[in-house]
Amino acid sequence: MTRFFAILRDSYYEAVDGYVIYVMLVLSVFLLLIFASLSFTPEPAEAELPKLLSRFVLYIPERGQAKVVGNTQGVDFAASEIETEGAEVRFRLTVSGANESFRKAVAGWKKPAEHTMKLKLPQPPKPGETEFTTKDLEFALPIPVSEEEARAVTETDKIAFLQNQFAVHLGVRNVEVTAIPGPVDEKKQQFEVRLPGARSSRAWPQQLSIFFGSINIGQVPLGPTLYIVQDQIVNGLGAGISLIVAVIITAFFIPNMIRKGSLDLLISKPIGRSQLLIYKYFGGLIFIFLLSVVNFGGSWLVLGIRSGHWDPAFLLAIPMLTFTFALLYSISTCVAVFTRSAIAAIILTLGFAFVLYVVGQAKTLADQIRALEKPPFQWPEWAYTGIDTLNQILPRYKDLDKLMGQVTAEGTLTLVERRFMDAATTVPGWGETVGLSLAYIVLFLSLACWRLSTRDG
Amino acid sequence: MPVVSTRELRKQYGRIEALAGVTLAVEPGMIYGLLGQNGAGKSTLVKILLGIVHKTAGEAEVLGEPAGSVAVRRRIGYLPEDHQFPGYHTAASLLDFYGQLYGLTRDERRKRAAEALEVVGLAKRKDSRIRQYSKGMKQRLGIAQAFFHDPEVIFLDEPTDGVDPVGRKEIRNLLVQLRQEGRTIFINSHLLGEVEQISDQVAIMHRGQLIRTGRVADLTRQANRYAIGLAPGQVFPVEAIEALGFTVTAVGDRHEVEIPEGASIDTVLETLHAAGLSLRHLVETKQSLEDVFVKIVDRSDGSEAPRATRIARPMEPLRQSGRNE
Repeated sequence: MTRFFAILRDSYYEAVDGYVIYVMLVLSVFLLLIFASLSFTPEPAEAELPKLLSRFVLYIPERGQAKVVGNTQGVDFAASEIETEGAEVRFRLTVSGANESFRKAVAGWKKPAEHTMKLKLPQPPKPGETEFTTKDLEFALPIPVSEEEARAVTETDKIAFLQNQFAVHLGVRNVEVTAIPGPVDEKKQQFEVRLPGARSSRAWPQQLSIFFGSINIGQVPLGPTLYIVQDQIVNGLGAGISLIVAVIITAFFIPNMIRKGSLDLLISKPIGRSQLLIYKYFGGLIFIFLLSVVNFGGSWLVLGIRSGHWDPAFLLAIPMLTFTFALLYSISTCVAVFTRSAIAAIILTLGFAFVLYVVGQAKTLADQIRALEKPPFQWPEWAYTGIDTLNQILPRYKDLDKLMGQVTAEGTLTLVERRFMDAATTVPGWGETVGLSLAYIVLFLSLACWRLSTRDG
Repeated sequence: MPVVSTRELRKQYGRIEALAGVTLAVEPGMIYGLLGQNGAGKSTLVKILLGIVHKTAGEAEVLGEPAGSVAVRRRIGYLPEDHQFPGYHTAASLLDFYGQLYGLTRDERRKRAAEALEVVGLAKRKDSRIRQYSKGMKQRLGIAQAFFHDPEVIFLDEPTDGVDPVGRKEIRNLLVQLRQEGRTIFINSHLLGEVEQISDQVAIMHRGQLIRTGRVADLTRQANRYAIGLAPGQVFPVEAIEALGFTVTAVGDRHEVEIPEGASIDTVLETLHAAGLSLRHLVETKQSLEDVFVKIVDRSDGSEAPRATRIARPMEPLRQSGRNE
């Protein structure tokens, strides 16, 4: 391991030697300062609680585990005696509705959705288009509940249902719900509710301003706002720029190592050539890792401080981006060993990345077209087959991005919002996405190791 | 047991035969000079011994193990020709990095790197970036990295390349010191004069073959040729000596006498004595390694013609210029 860490440290020196990484770090800090200037002011609970409770008409069957959305029928939820203390909100919840409706809703919530139906969900027009399209969203049909099942619903079930509703719609866990004893009115029941951290929760509407309050942007929900910042700006634009810069900078590492007069110095030391190359490869990942730590770690920290919403899962973007770069860097390494040219490594790596991006985009588009009942246009069958095949056999560059988007969504959006989003995107599996990319990394590195081991000098 | 040995070592680059069956043995504790023109195969031989180049056929061992194995590389040091150190390192950080590759502990690395840099005269610049170094400083650093980890065998390819005369002398002294410590030093060099001064044994390579090996003193000795000097004012009897069958050549205020086969210098001395002349100087003459090298290479090429008449650009006097190209 001593040699491994020695080469890692050597790569670190090499990575921080040029001015480019400092330019990137300055840009990152600049972006973080902009994030730091965002101000989130929670809207008053008196105004927002009724809106929140109106969304309780939707629930996730199977105790919140189902992939579809169901809805309560004939049940109303109202708040009174609202108190706010910091981010915490306390209030009295009144559940009212038709006879036994609440019990039936809770009983339905406990059961899996047996039948579903597809509802048309309007999709905003794409850039350059004006017409809305529709998309199928799967809804649970009213879940049949027998009289016995309704009667079997206990007070504990009701409390669990309510806690789940707050988790699903507000993203708040550890909700305290206590049934208020008293004369049981079949049409009205009251609960004391304590929502810790509600006003900094992902679904709570906020007044957003930038540059420390100097420019007011308006009311936004916290979660979707953070989702856009994290997914589109940090993990989208920021990560894209970081990847391109990292490919260009690190493309010189291997050619520098194997150039005449340099390689001899290293391979005359007691270290195998393949070992040297693999260690150097990992060393090259340091560049993107450093940028990722600053970008993602910094964004997470700054947005957490400014919004009060902490989502540790977002930090997964650091290894995810490093892994994405690992795929590109394995190509760069392979090309560099075969050609000894940094320029060739840059051109072929970025070219390959572009091909993967195009295939990923085409696959996404193809999936969207196939999901539409009446798509505005159709591709020939061979085009779908070709895209599916290419997507199947090539590294899942785009899918890694989609997976990170999903992780970001899980940390920022509510379950119901995610169910709606899931309907609009096809999220790939972790195993095949990471596995296939890993297989390509191994393939490219094996080729590079073979070439370096068999060449003279 | 030799520390370096090869048997019928061959290396083929396509149609070009870089090594055509090289067999050699280097004994421990000596400075071994490998001489040859550009393209003679010197660097290829060393690179095979270090595992940098793969052999085509034959055998090569270093320190009793197959040449190029990781175990061997731990025990040897190497300074390649035209080396390029990463410019982002300092001398200290580079030796620390290499020390880690050699498996030295932190304390060993610090101690040995400091000592080595002191020895090569880089102690004051050890924290400067290598990209700021002159060629001579890089060469000194190259030598430091070749011996700082206490290797048993050190391979040096043009070790004094780019170093000023004072620095060259320091490097020669260092190599002699390393030999005295029991290390074996294998030098590839064009600088025949320097190799001549410090090598115990030399080998001359030409067109991928070893065409002559031997001790420097043996190679440069000119049998049956003496330089004779007489007392001031006395005239050397050239005609009388030549009449006896000797060849006489005036060299400054002395004369060189070549003794023919079967004759003896005693005949010349007796003649001088009989003529009442007083002998002040009598030395068996030697030729320079450069002369030996040129003669051997020319002979190997099948020509005894003077080299300067056969090449477009005459070779500079090697001892003065320090290079033959």
